[in-house]
Amino acid sequence: MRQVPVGVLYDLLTSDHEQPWRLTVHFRAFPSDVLLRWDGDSSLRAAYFNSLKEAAYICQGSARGVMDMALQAQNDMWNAVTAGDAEQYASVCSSLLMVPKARGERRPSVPLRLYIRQSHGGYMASLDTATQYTSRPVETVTETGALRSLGEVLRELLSALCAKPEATNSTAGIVSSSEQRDKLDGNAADAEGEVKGEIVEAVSSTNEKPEGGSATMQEKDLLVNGRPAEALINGVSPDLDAPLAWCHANLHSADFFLYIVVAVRE
Amino acid sequence: MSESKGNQVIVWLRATGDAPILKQQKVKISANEKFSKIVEVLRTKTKSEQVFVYLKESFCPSLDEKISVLYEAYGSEGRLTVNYANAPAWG
Repeated sequence: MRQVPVGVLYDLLTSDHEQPWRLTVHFRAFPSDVLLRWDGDSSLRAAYFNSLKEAAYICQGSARGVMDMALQAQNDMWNAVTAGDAEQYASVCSSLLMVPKARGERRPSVPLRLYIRQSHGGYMASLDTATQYTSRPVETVTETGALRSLGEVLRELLSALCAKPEATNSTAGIVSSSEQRDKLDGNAADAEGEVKGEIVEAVSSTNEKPEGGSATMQEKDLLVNGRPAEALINGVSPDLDAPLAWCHANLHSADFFLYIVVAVRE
Repeated sequence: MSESKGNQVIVWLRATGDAPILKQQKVKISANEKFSKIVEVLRTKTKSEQVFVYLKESFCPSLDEKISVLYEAYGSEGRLTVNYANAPAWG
């Protein structure tokens, strides 16, 4: 079960950032194996705080700060999040001290969720077949303590995610079925279908950009399987030379994860 | 981002609350599997449809995430410790 914030879904699934966003509503065949049914505010709230705890663990090495929050503080936080009240949110958050720090041998890391869209996959394509996803801590500095850039981090993640054999075969990312149980006693034979991904750094010599000044055209493009791709954070194309730590500090979501969409240009 | 040794991860399944304690608490699972695999194993072993799973005694990771990634991020002492309960814990 994957819960994707609606803004991320928009960045991920619209190709030309159409507005208004046209959605197709289906009244039959609810995909209960991949989607949670809406059962009220409480499950959303639980998912939010669960995400916040993971983020706290990644930043600080412990989720204590979140788990020890008084109920009143939790309520205040949730109200601020649902109301989009940045001031109240900031005042509750300040007590959490969510600043990434080194712990033990681990360098300071930020919680990051990356969604990759390789194709639209056509009408009725499921999110699972058309996209790839990872949620993980990512270190913000190199061994020598230099800040890692967003581009550097994304290229590494893209090559790790797209080069591994899997992805094509793991259609429904969901458990169930006796087939799963058969595989239970350890074999990795189910990892075949190969998706080769080369992430090459391309200096784009083709600056034949259309009129209306998209001055943010990246010097160095991201490539997924040799196809140019675009990164989006909160609907904005970030400067790939920006330090990851800076991006996280300024663009993280309410649950302190940094959500990034990388979409192959159609 | 390196893969864990031998492409299998030792997962330590620890009961929390009044969840049944398993006879076999350590299982080896392919590092390529998703975390949802562990949930499925627990459902089967505890004979219960509803299982709540936690890492670091605090949160449940994305079920779609690969075990190798989670091991790298949250494993220690050569294993990934997973707590399970039959009711929500660590709210």
